[in-house]
Amino acid sequence: MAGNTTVIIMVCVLVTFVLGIVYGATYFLDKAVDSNAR
Amino acid sequence: MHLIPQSASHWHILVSVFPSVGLVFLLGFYAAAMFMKDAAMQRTCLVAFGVLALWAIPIYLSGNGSEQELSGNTRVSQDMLDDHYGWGVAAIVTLAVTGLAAWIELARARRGRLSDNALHLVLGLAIVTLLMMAIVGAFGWVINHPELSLATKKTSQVWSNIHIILNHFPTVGFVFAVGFYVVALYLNDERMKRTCLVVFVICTILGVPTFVSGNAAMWALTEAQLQGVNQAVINSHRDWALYTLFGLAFTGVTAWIELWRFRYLNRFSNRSLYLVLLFAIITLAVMGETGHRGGQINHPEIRTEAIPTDPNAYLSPHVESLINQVLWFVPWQTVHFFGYSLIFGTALAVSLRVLGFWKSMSFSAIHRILPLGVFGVVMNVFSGMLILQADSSRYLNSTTFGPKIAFITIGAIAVLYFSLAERLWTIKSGEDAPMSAKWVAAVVLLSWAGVIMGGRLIPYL
Repeated sequence: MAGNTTVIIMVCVLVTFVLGIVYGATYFLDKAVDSNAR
Repeated sequence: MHLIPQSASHWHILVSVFPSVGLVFLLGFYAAAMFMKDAAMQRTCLVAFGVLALWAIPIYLSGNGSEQELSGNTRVSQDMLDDHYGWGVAAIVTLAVTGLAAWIELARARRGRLSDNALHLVLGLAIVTLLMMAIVGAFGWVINHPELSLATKKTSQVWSNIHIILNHFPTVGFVFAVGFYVVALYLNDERMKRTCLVVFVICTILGVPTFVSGNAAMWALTEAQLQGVNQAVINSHRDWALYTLFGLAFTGVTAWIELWRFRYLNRFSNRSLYLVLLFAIITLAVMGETGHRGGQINHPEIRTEAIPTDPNAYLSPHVESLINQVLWFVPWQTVHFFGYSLIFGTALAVSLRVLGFWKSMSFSAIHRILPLGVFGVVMNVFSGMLILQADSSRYLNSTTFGPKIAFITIGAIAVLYFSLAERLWTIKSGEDAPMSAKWVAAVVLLSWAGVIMGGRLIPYL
C-alpha cells in the first residue's frame, strides 16, 4: 500500500508531465501559426 | 502472413465488410465530392464503386464455400443461412449494377465532363445497395453469433451487438481513407486531402465507443459462458485494442492539427501530410492484427493455430491490477479532471462566441484555442480508458456510462464542425454567426455537459 506522500508526489509528477506536454505542444503550434502570419 | 484466411468462412467474414461498412465511407466521400463539385474526387469514387462491384465475385464464392463448411455445424441454423443467402444474392446484384453504372459513366466521359444525371443515378443505386447490405448484414451476423440472443443478468448483450457493428467502422474506414488519401497526395487534390483528414479524425473518435463497447462485450460474453470462448483469447484482443487506440490517437490528432493549421496557412504542409500517412498505415496494420485477434474470440471455425488458455496471459490483466492501486488510480484520475476542465473550458468559450457573446472577437481569434480542447480530449481518452480498466464491469453497467460515451462521440464530431466550417471562419469582429452554427454550438455545450454529468453520476446511480 503506497503512503500518502508517495501518492501526492505521483500526482504532482504526472500532472506536471502531462500539462508540460500540453503547454509545449500549444506553444509550438501557436509559434507555427504566428510565424506564417508574419 | 497469419492474417491471410485459411477457410472460406474466414474469407467471407473478411471480404463482406467492404461493400457494407465500406460503402458507408465511400458514399461519404462521394457525397463530399458532389457537394464540393470536385471532379477528380468524383472520378476516384466511381472507380471505387466499380472495384467494390468486382468484390461481389469473392463474396459470392466465399459465401458458397462458407455455407458448405458450416452445413454440419450445430451452432448454425439452415433457415438463417437461407435468409442470408437470398438477400445476399439480391444485394450483390445491386452492387454489381452500381459499379457497372459507375464504370459506364467513366468510360463515356473519358475526355469530357461527368454528367450530373449519371452521378445522381450512381448515388441512388449506391444508397439502395447500402440498405440491402444492412439487411444482409443483419441476417449474416446472427448466423454464428448465438450469444446475441443469450440472456445475461448483469451486462446486456446489446453491448456485444454494438461492438460487432461498430468495430468495423474505424478499420474499414481507415482502409478507404488511406486509399483515397494516397490518390489525393498523388493528384495533389487539396479538397480530397481535407476530406481524408476529416475521415481519419472521425474514425479516431469512433475508436472510443468501439473500445468501450468491446470492454462491455467481454463481460457479456464471459457471463453467458459460451462454449469455445476463453479469457486468454479476449486478453490478446484487448492488448491490441489498446495499441490501436494509441495509433488512432496519433493519426487523428496529427490529421486534426493539419486541418486546424490549414486555416492559417491556407495550404497543407507536405511533411505533416506524409506523417499522417505514416501513422495511418501503421495504425491500419495494428488494427488488422486487432481485428484478427477479435475474430478468434467467437469464431472457432476460423482458428488455425492453438489458442492460449491462461486467463492472466497478456498485458491487460496486469494493467487492470496496476490501475487498481491508489498509486496509479489517483494520479490518472487527477489528469482526467484536468482534461475535462480543458475540454469544457474550450467548448464553452468557442460555443459562447458562436452563440453571440464576445462579438468584438472574430471567430478566427477564438479558433486559436481549439487545440487546447483537443489535447484535453486526448488526455481524457487515455486516462479514461485506464481508469475504466480498474473496475470495468461496474462502470459499464452504470446507468449513466453509456450516455456519457454517446455524448463524447456526438460532442467530438460536433466540435469538428468548428474546425471546418467556411462560414464560421469568415465571421469578423462584430458579426453574428449563422443560425445553423448556433445549433451546433448548443449541441456541443449540451453534449460536453452531459459527459461531465454522466461521469460524475456513475458512483451514485
